[in-house]
Amino acid sequence: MKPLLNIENLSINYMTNKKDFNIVKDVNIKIDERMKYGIVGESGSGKSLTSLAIMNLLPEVLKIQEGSIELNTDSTKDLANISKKEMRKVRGREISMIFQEPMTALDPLYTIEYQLLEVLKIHKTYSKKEMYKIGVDMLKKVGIARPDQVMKDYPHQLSGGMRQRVMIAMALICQPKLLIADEPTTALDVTIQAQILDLMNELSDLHNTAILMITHDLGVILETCERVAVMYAGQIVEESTVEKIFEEPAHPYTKGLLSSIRSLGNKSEELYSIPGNVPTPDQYQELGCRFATRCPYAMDQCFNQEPLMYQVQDDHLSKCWLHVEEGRANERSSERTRS
Amino acid sequence: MREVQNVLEVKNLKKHFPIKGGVLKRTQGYVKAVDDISFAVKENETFSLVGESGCGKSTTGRAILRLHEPTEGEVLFKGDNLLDVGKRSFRLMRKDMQLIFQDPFSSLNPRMTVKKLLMEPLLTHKLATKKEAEQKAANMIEKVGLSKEQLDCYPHEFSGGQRQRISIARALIVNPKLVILDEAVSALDVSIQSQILNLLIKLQQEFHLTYIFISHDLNVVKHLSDRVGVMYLGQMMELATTDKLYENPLHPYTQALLSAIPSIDPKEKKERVILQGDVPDPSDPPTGCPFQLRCPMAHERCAEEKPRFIEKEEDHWVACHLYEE
Amino acid sequence: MKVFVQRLIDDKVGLFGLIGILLVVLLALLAPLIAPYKPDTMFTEHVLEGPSSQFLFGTDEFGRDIFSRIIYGAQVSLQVGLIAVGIGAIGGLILGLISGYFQGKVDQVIMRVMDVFFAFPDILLALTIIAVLGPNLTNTMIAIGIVFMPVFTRLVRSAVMTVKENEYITNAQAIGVRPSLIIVRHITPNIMAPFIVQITLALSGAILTEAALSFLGLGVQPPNPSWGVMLNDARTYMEFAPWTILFPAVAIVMTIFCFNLLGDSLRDLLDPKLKQ
Repeated sequence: MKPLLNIENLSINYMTNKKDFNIVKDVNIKIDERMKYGIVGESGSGKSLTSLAIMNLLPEVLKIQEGSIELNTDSTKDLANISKKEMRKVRGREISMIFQEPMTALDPLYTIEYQLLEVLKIHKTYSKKEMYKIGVDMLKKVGIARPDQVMKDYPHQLSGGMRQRVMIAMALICQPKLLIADEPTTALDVTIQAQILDLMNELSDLHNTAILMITHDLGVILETCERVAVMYAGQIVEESTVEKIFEEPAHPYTKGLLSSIRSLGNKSEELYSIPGNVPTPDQYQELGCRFATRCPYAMDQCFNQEPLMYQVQDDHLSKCWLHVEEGRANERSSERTRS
Repeated sequence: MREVQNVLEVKNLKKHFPIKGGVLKRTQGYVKAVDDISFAVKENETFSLVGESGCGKSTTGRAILRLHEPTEGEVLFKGDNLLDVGKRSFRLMRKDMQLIFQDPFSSLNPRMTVKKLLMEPLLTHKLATKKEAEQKAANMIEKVGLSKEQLDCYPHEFSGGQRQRISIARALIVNPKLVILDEAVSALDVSIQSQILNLLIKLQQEFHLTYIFISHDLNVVKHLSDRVGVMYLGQMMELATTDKLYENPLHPYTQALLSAIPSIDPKEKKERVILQGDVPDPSDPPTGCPFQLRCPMAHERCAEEKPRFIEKEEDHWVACHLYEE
Repeated sequence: MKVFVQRLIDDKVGLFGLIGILLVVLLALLAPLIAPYKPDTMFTEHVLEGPSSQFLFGTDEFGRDIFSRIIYGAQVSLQVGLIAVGIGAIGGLILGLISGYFQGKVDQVIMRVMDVFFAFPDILLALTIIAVLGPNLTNTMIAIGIVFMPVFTRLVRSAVMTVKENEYITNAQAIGVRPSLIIVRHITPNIMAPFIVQITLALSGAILTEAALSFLGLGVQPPNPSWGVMLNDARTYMEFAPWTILFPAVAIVMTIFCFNLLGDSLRDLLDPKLKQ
């Protein structure tokens, strides 16, 4: 069976008439139906741009340079090459998106009812009564206690957590096949974050919706996802199931990230940290590995030649020269002695 | 009784913000951002305040520094009540108490070079001549892991982590006793965050600093702190040494807060306490215990009576009826 | 700064405005060298003559050379523009800084007074002030300055309030910097961008207002040349001697046009969001 979403060799460039440089390069992602897929990365890693590319919402100066974004629902479409009109039919109905800022993502001038049912009006044909009922049901499903009251409220009358629930209700009301969640809980407090993640898991099972979770927080990935792609400086550096990434990370960057979070629990120890700074797109190396300048294992080759994506074990990819047969063996043993 | 001296003692601190409304801007009520909290910070320790947004932790930090004038209470800094000091002389005392902010992008004046930014606190307090200040700035910037060559750069030429280093240098250059870090690493990426935390720990030892660390990130707080205070709706719910708080949280709110942190160990499947509802509106808090509306253990008494803040065991304070005899 | 100049040069429209203004400034400064005659020399045998090789732009009803008068008029126009806008801008800057930084009662008082000024049309307000002070060049400048003050005050105040939100201001307070120094060192440099743009736009407004006041006979007094005075004088003869009104009008329009072009392009150039 074809995957629900198949992104192949996606590259995005920043392009004005003066400057032209690559930002996102060679992204390959396959998301099956009902799958919960995560993209994790730091700011500037290109994770959000990838999601915007799927929605065809890239800002004017960013252009898809190469690659395809295939969406297989009733029919097959390439979202990298699709007319605006076609895309409008996809948004909201087949793919929907929730954003980080629940404060600004709702229009302050309209009631929740208006905004919630707007999506339905565009994509489906129901009578007014039916629509209202669907809206109220949806609000109940996202855990809002007095849906009739909330339908009449304006966004400013709701708390941050409630607004994010409304956003989720809006995203799911047309029962899309794929829900893209771009840092959906970053602006929320931990106790509310726990509620929202729980809710998203529950609803995706209920509606058979696949989730693409974009986040910087590895904890959120572990809570919600089955598979994960780790992005750094516009490229996927490692991709596998969540268990494999957390238990046997292969790429030095993933290892560094996990080590720095894990050593947080250990008070006596100095925190593990990755040296240096995240490069900005104009600092990306033309050749070689984009992580090489911060990598403790970097070799000459890493600065001259872009690493290939290696299959380090079944269903586990990592983009690093260390995985060339010999290097990989060394890497394993050093990991063992450290832990 | 006291082995280590308290650098700072906060007693019954209150900060109420008036809510103004109507054409005539009359006060219609108060947001009790900080409502009667007390704690002491010992010399050379890291004391953390944690809580969710709107719990009053940042306001507490700013009230101590009188960036928000406290409504009531006492703030004793090495025995002197800061709130009795006149505004002008307080300005001079500020050099002993520095503040580091969350947002590395808005906390540095974009029109000043790093050198000027670092020299300003010294010159403001007349701690050095221009020449000396320049020398000190050059020393300090290397202490925080940047190079002298970067002194003539402007803030926008640096990344977030580097700017936070500049903020740290600027705060420490006047040799303060107490540094309040208000979400100082929250805006940084994970890989940068640990660099800055390591730097903060190193500098604390080198300069014998006392930190008040304000954060919502319980993992970071655990790593950095000696003692932790948990705030909710402007009140202190629990206060204990870090080990006691994380291993044996007493207050139901602390328990829920700790269990809500997403785990990073796939093998560890913990039992979650998922709290219902949202934090209540701070201008209209519930009577009795502020947490009673969301508390899984709430009983009648919680709605009627505000629990007292008691020392349940040594170095472990809690405000909850479950632990009152 | 270097980058800034480079970018201004890259921006053709802004550069055009700048060159135009420099040209006017040059004309004004070198008036005695460039102008073929004194502005008040009367050639009684050449009254209301059309443009010729002797009188480039023709002559007016007293036989004065219009070309020379326009060049000398540039002096007046620029002088009025700069000084009047200077008064308005500095006054507005001080009031706006105080208003925006301290807020509260001071702010209320200052802004209500400004609102009253705002309620009058520019010309009417200027006319009233001149009527009180008496019509001459100095008073014209003062009047225009006062008319422009509320715009600057409001602009500065709102810019201050935006800048004040930044944590580096709280940071400076936390370090113990005096309020007066915070205003000078941390706030003022950060509000300069919109302020400078407003100055260029106000300059064109001031020149126009001066022309209008002089046209109404309340600004510069004849025989001193000013573009407004020239328009006023030419009004009676414009049907059969159109050059008398055409050239001063073109001078006004071109100068204002150049100032506006420069202002618009400065607005873009000084926007920190576009800076990179």
